[in-house]
Amino acid sequence: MLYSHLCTPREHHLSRRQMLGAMGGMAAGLGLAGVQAPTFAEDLARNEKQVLLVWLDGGMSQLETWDPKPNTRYGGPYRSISTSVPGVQISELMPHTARQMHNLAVVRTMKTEDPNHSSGVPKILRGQPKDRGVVYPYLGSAVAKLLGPTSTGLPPYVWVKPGSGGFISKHAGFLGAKYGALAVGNGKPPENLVRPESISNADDEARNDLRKRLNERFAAGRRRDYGEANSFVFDLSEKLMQHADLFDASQLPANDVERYGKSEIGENMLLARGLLEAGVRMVHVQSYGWDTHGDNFNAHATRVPRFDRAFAAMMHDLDERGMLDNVLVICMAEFGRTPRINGSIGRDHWNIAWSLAMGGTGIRPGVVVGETNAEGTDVKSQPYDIGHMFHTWYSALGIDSQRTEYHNGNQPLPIAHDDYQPVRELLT
Amino acid sequence: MIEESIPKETSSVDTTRQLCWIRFSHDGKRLLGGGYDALIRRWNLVDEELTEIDPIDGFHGWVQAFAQHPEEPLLFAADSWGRLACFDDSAEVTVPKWDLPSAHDGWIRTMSISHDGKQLATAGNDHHIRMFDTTDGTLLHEVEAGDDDIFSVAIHPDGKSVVSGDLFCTLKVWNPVSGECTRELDARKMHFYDRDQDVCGLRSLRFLDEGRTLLATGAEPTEAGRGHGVPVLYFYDWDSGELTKRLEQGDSNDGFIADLVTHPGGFFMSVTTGQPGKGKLIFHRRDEERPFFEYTKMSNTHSIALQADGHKFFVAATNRNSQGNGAVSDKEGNYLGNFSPLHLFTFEN
Repeated sequence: MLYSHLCTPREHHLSRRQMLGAMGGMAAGLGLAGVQAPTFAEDLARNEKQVLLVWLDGGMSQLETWDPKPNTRYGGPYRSISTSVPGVQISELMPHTARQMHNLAVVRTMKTEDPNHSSGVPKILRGQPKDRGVVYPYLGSAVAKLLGPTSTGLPPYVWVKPGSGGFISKHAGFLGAKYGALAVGNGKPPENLVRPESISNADDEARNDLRKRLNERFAAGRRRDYGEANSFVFDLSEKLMQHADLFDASQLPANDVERYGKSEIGENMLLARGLLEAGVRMVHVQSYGWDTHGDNFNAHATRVPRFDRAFAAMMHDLDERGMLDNVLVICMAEFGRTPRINGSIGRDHWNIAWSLAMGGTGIRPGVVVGETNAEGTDVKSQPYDIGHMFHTWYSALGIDSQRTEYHNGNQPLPIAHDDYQPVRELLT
Repeated sequence: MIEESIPKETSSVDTTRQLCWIRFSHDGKRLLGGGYDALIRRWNLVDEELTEIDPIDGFHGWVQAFAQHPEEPLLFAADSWGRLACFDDSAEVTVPKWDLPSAHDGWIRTMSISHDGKQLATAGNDHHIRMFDTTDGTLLHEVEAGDDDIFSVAIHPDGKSVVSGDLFCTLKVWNPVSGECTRELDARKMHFYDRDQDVCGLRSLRFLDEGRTLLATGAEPTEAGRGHGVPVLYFYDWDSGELTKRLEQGDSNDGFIADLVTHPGGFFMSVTTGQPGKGKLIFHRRDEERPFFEYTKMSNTHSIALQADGHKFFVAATNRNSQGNGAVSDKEGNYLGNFSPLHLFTFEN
């Protein structure tokens, strides 16, 4: 397949069938030099991997979560608590997550380039590879490309977020719009997902026949993927229609609603669980509002417990259902928050020594990688870039991050920063 | 006449750390300040010169809650890990007169001393209000005050009730002996919700007019991330529970009223947190809609300490350029923290 970042989104639409066909021999099918062709079994196993990204937009404070420095100058008011991993402590604001620590790995020495939201968010979500004049895909789009949909045929990349929904093609970068995010806003399914009752089965079949004929006419004389592109969104919607119940919160067990919490992140995380169970390859759960330049400590006092409840419930459920064997869980933001407390009793943006967490498939559970200094003002051990993490996560998913390449037209591109490698301490 | 005069900033002293609050000792000869570094710092004041002496230590986290005995040189202070202790505020030694390492489970945000000085009420993140005997720290009463963090408490002058303000800015009146909530007052305009964050604008409660009026101070928050809010004072008629007056002290850029004291001349002196680099000292008469004095040359003000005679006061502010993303270092590469300049003011008359 050839791709061009200059093409229109329509030209990049691709049918589910084509995606399924392509993913079976993805590496070989891409015709990439130097990529080992996986065996069928390996390929199958790889293709059942799934990813959950929990994105805390604005930047959660590492000092009030994963890397507390209690009773130090910048440590804030909170205590640290023990976790299910002996010797590992996290903030007292996360008692539920503390009990899931044996399922998690934490990196405390993230040192990245950009302390700004507008440029930092895309850099982190793209893994900030070397600049080669192309716009790299966000992690979700990258996973959608590299692994494709699961065998369910459900959309490979769903973005569960507060606010509006829609199809967000810009996440895909040079890969092309078809690898964009299907955004589910405020827990609502895409509009017109469910067929109106007024349309009978016969009418529906007739409409589909007409649609197919028009597609065939349009495709005549054009590249094959032109025609198939028109079916792409329809195919996704059709598959989602079979899971419309996922979006009906009234069908959720009351106990689950209680465990995940009656909060924005709780509701979205519970929806994400359903999407993963249904077979969506990549689910990105978004939580907004972590940019606490003012009143940081009171803000985290209400925000973190809501995150904690939802995140821990997710980890518990994935574990209990055996899904951590296949699902890679990542929890991060674009950066952390400054150790120093500003005049508004807030913390500002901090890219120097921040934390993120992960768990699930391929990730060594219960480890803490890296150490910051006593006051959290810098790393004390090996710093890690987001590029290290992308290599690590691809490796956890069974993708050889140092040999697999994208092709942007004739331009081969590494899937992660070519100066970095996976962090072996984080991998099983 | 002090009431008609305006203050003049006469000096400013830099500290090495940030302070949550400052107050004069009972004898007026010492300035005390609780900080974000688990210490109560102390300065002797001689001829308007501050000389720092050994701090009071043994705390953890933040030393945010405090109270002073109305007649004796006793300072009560609590930290964010649950310790409550009593000190002689004029003594050189820092040994507590009594000490409760686990008065609460976690952050003690607020305390109030009764008008007769015999009882102390404390509350915070463990959702309990506890009443202690100020002479020895004996627990007198305990109230299970709901499911929400408590931001402020005040003991009514009659000693028979305690009012608390929670995260959602509901003011609950408690009988501390029975533990019953007898009624609720509404300050919910001080609460703001946005994207999984509850913002509590309430910062303090106190009684005026010998208990006939309850004053709630803080802000009506207007957004969640940056501490925007309109600084306000709510006056409640205690008998009816009705909000009888609402005074604004600025706009949404002024943030929270971080501290407020009453001048002997009868007006309120308050300081506001403000947006980056901004903070106000405000004088406001209760019967006037607008403040009659504002001073805006300080950055992010947090507390005000007024000498008993009303002639002199300090404001704890924040150093300039306290905000900033990424690492901020000195020439040697040392990470730079923030601190609280202490601004001394005197009234000209």
